[in-house]
Amino acid sequence: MDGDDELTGAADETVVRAMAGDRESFAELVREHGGAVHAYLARRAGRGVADDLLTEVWLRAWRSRGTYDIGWADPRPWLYGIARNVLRAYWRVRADRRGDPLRLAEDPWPAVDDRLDAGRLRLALTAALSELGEDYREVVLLVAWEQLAPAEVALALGLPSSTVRSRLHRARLILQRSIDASDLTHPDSTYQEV
Amino acid sequence: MHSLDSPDSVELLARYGRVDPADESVIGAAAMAVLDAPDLDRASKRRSGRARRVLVGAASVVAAAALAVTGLSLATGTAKAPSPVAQRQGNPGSGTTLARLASAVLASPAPAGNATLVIRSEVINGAAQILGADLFTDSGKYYFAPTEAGLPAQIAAGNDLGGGTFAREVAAATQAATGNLTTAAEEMESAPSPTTAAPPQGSMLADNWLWEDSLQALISGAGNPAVRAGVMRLISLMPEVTVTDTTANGEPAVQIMAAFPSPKCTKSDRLAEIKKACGPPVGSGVQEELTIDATTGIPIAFQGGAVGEPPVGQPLTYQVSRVTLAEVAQGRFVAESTKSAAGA
Repeated sequence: MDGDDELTGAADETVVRAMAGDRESFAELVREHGGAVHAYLARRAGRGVADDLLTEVWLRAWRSRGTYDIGWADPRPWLYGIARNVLRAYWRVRADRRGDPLRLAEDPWPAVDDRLDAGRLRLALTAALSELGEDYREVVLLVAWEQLAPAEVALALGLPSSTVRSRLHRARLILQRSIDASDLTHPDSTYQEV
Repeated sequence: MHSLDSPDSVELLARYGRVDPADESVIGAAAMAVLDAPDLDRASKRRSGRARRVLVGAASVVAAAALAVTGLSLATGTAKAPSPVAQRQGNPGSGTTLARLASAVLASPAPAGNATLVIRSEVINGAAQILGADLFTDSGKYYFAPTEAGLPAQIAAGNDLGGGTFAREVAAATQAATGNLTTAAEEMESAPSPTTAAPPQGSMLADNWLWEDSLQALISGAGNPAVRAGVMRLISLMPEVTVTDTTANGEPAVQIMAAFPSPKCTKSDRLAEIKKACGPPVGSGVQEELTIDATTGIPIAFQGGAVGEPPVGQPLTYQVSRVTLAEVAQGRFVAESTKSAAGA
């Protein structure tokens, strides 16, 4: 079997056309990946904010298409990177309104925290995620929630893949330790899914 | 205690990341906005002259690799059922070298001490920084701390992470050392999430899973010769791998490079402008390099980047040593090799 054939999809052509400036193809990208980008935003800021910011992300993507490298067959990591910047800008404005410290502008964790449902596992996970810090947390959330590989996370965050790999390794260990410590994987334990 | 059947921490976290799908009207509005957006001027349309730090192609490869890393089940249906006829073709060149190294590692005498200490570090902003200290005992216990100084407290507190994180990867590598290699490869591919269907063996997708998981096993089980040998045997199956003799810290070393190029533009040939945009089918995709000791197979460094281009950033380095658990618990980090040298 030819691995390249397996890995080459119709979307590749759409991506190339879109990044070359074909509006219809770019709109097709919106329809294909809009749900994933919306989910990225919703997980971090809530559904309402995601509804508000989705168009801004895609308009920025359209304006920034010249920065897309045609070697990237999957545009999602690139799109998540743009969505992250849009979200940060949103939080910066919100922080200004609240008179909140800069920490909030740089780290939208409080909103992510709000998105997690109640329960003992939630408490353990949120405590562990909070302990991780924003740099490590974004790596593990891109892997867990957006299902990116380390190399894709590297692209989304503009980091060397070795850095992503080490951050992911450490994040997994800290999370695992918190879960084990709370014994939440015991059959008698329950957790609620969002 | 975490068991082999327990969900991975990231998998648990993923369950909390489920959100309702966006309304079609919201996505439709975004698409309309793009269609109505002002056009770019010529200047902004040019590509940046700055070199790319990381190039990622082969979307299916890396997307599926994410599942391998996280142990997530694939709700979007990208994963395929295993093909009963597809088999790995092997790697007659570099694979032979790796298989020979595996035999030598397996025949090496049992290591001194009863635990392996792995210090991971990276040069960040010009200064070496320790990114984590892992202590793997021969009995299966696993302690982690941000630096080695934190390990005694972890041992005293009984914070054993063994048996769950990466245990399936290590078990698959151990099986590969002396057992059925095909079966071991299948188990390695599915180690993070046994319930996720693996792609057909022999595909680049499957090899990418095998590579990612084998690296995790090698780091986690670096102190065990059987794990190292098993990983060498597993990697020897992959045609994407190239082995080169090199040196590290003045000692003979082997560099194992795995390259997963992005798809070529074969399906775009009929479109001249797209063909031009694709350019030559090099300089894209994922390429990772692992340097190991030429005699012991112990990992020394890891680096990644784009296919056909120099690695990005500074390498992640591994300082692996055999130690005694009781001594580490007391805050004494004396490598067994140092003791031997002192006694010689």
